[in-house]
Amino acid sequence: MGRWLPTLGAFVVVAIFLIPVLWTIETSLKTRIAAWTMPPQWVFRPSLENYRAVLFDHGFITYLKNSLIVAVGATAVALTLGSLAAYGLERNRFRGKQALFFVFLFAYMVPEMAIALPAYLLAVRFHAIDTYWVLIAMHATFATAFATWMLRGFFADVPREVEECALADGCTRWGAFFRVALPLAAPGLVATAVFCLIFSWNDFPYALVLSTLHVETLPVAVGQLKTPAGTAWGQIMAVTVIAFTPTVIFAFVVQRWLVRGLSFGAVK
Amino acid sequence: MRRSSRTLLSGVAAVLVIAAIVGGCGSSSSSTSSSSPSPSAAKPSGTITFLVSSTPTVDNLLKQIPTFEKQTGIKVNVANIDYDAMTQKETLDLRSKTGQYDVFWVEGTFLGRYVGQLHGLEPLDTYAASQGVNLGLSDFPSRLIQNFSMNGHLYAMPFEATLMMQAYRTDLYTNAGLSPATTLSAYLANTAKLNNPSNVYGTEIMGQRGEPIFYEWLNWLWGRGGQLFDSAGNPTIDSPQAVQALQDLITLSKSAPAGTVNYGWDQAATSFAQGNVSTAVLFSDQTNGLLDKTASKVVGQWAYAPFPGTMQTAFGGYSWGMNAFSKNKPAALAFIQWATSKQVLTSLLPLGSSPPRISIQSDTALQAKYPWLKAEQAAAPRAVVPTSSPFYFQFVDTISADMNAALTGSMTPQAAMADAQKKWENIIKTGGGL
Amino acid sequence: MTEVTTSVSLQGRRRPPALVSGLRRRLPLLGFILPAVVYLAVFMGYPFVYLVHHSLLHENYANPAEGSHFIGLGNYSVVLHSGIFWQSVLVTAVFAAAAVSIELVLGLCIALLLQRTIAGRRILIALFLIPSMMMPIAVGLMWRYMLDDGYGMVSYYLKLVHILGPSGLIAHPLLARPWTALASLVVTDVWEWTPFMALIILAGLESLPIEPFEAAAVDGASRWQEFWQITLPLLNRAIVVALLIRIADAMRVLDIVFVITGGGPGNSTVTAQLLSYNIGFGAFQTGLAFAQVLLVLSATVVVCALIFSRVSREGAAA
Repeated sequence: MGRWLPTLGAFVVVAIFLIPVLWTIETSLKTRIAAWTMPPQWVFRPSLENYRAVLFDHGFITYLKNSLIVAVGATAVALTLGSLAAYGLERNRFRGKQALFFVFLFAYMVPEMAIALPAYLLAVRFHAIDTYWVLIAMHATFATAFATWMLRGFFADVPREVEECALADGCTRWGAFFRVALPLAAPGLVATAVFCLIFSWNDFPYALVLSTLHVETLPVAVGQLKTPAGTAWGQIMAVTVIAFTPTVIFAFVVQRWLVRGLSFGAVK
Repeated sequence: MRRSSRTLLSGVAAVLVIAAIVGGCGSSSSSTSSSSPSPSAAKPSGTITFLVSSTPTVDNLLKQIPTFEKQTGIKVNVANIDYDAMTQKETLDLRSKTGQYDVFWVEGTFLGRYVGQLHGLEPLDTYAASQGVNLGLSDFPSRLIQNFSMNGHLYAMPFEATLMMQAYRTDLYTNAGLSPATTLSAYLANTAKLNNPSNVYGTEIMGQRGEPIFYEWLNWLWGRGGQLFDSAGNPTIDSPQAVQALQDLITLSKSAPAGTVNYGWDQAATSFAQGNVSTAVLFSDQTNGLLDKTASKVVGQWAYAPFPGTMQTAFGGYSWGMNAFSKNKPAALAFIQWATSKQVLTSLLPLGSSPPRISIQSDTALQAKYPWLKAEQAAAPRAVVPTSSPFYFQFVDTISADMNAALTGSMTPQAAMADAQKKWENIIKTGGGL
Repeated sequence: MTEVTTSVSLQGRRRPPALVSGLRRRLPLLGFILPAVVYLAVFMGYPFVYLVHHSLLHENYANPAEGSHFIGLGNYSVVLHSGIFWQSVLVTAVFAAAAVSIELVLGLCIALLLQRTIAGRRILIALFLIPSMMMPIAVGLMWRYMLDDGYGMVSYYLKLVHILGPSGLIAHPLLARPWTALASLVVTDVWEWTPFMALIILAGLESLPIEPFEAAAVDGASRWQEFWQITLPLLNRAIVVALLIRIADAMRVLDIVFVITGGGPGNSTVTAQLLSYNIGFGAFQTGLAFAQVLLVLSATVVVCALIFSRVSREGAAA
């Protein structure tokens, strides 16, 4: 019975955290009057009007598509560059190692809003405003910095003996990376991918400044619903639900990698 | 083997970088935008980009765009974004002179920056004349034209003549034998009398830091005889009238729900629509929220009256302006004219619009159908733009923070206005700085 | 660290002596790092240089007529002498410290719970991640709606139990006084990012080697001892990663502040990022805004560097 205690505790905690999410979902199914009625209504007649309005009247399907393209693109770039960099940094021994690590963290720390203005000017010069490339490129900057930083920890936990064996057996460094270290750091890669996707998906400053019409992403589009004539709460909640559903499904699918226990005992 | 893998990686990186830059090169050609008049015989065509923020009337306008496109063959791309973001994007666009947006949302308070500093709006009167087009300005009240003009030129065509109106509950007023206030003291008296915290509050104010509290206070400032600046352009916001106006807001907040200290126009309108207050000063672009049965519990039980007194009131209307760097000005002008035409504006009335045209506002048949028109017509001549200073943003940011602090009790009204005065003087002195 | 030394000397013995073996071994590894560095240099380098350059100019981006002229450290001086700047730094520091420490403790506890969960773990984690996956702007709007005094769910229930309301512990709306407004922001941030923290720590927990635990079991260590002396030190790296990223994020917080309080009441919740946003994108005083951003960034870097070296050293000593 003691074994079930943590499980019970986990369920309780998650349930508490999810109360606002439940409220969000319920609000997305309410009309404006119902959304503002006090006491809060937990049981009511649901309506899909907000979803209909958001997807069809406001064209959020396009924004979803844009967000997806940019997020996947940026994550791909970030994982590639980031895993290489993290591995190289972790496995290397030289003086400036810590400093170089810090450069990556530093790149992540720079506020996007500040970078957005010069990025805008640069994009204008290259006629790159409102293109997928420029948005993917800028998202990939902080994503790469984040990925490098995060993956470093995971590569550090990959024991060197395994790689040394591979190298001694005639493997190249690239081979050691690709065939040994990478698979062993897989849970880290997955976790990093999940968060890179999320960061790109949710980014506002770059998306705002660098898109006009064609590549407008969800967070910018949500602003449409925060109108001078009133905030369309139900619709905003509907967009929120539409936005986090794919990420939840994705997280669920990659669970296996995320929390797979590594048994180094067997490796020895 | 190792060396080649390294060069391979570097190569990949280089390719990625180059591809990102090259691939980003859009197909937009950098055509020089001509500001010299083009021959008026050419029929407007091509594509334009229209930047807006959503409101019920704007949304309806957007739905009507296909009709315009079919009529004229002009393609309209719509960029619909968040209001705060919209003003930033407009500034960025005008500053970088890229002409990304051909037509966009302009308010009277924007002119200081967009025209005075950035020279980014096309003067519509001169442009229309050069194209041999008549804007038909006689159908707009002169005050309204003034609100969107600078240095004698009109820079945007009015779309919504948003006013700040006294909204009141006809049922509650009738029961109490009251009529809507025509003086400031009557307003204070009415709201105190009707205040019933367990049922319906007397009133509410927009106490939120930012534009809401600033506009709420402005009407009272002017009502009490105060001004923002003197004739030499120096701020006079620590005057007794200014402090009194702030005190009035504090007094009103005592007859209001506790949350009023944070109400923006959104919440103020919702609160009224939920039937929680008897009287409030609302922006008339909130009318839709009061009419809509899925949002309002007070349908048919409310009415507008002008803000009490005879002094100036705040104008919050918006209009369509043309980018001076637009690459398709003839089409932009055609669109602006269509979007402010009598036919289109009339079609927006059922949504609670505040039409800018005299012919619509004074039409008795329409007035009977849309009761708020009459009150707005009476209130319109008093409505002015707060300021055309390019430091509008900084002014509002600083004074609203101080007033909100006074409202929430961490500063006295005198101290708040004295601090705001100091900050305004500093802003002017440093040309807009901290 | 002993294992590392061993493998190095092992290597020395296995490989044929080559005096440039160090350099030769290093080159390909440097090659691994190069793509990322080049990428960041290009796409972040130019904007950053622009940032620094323009922080030394007096410039109103929205007023080209004013021109931009070099004033050296003038902007920095103005910012450092400005009361509102220091206030925003204080607000940001308090916010970050409170939010991150709560997230760390909570995240650690939840990660431990999740690690020992024996049923439904997959779905539990996926659902638990939702707060961290929602758009920050949506999180802000959602909590603004819930915290609203008249119509918010949170306010309503707090009034029900007399924590809020005229007769309650807190006699004013949550967002109407500085401390409760700031606390509301902290709660929002904790709700939003604890799952993120928990996930990183959980992944760290899952990657821990078995041997120390087996050894501890053999030695008869208690649960408590095992946690403090083995688990925690080994988790060091994961915790540092999560901590630094969260601190960097917390010091840049903008979305939720903008949407929930807008800096109010008064200026009491104006964070550093909100201030630079107002200066840079509201007033378009880009020179000042950039100077301010760089000052705050430097402070963030220093703080993170301190934490990093401190915690890393502790981890190394373990």
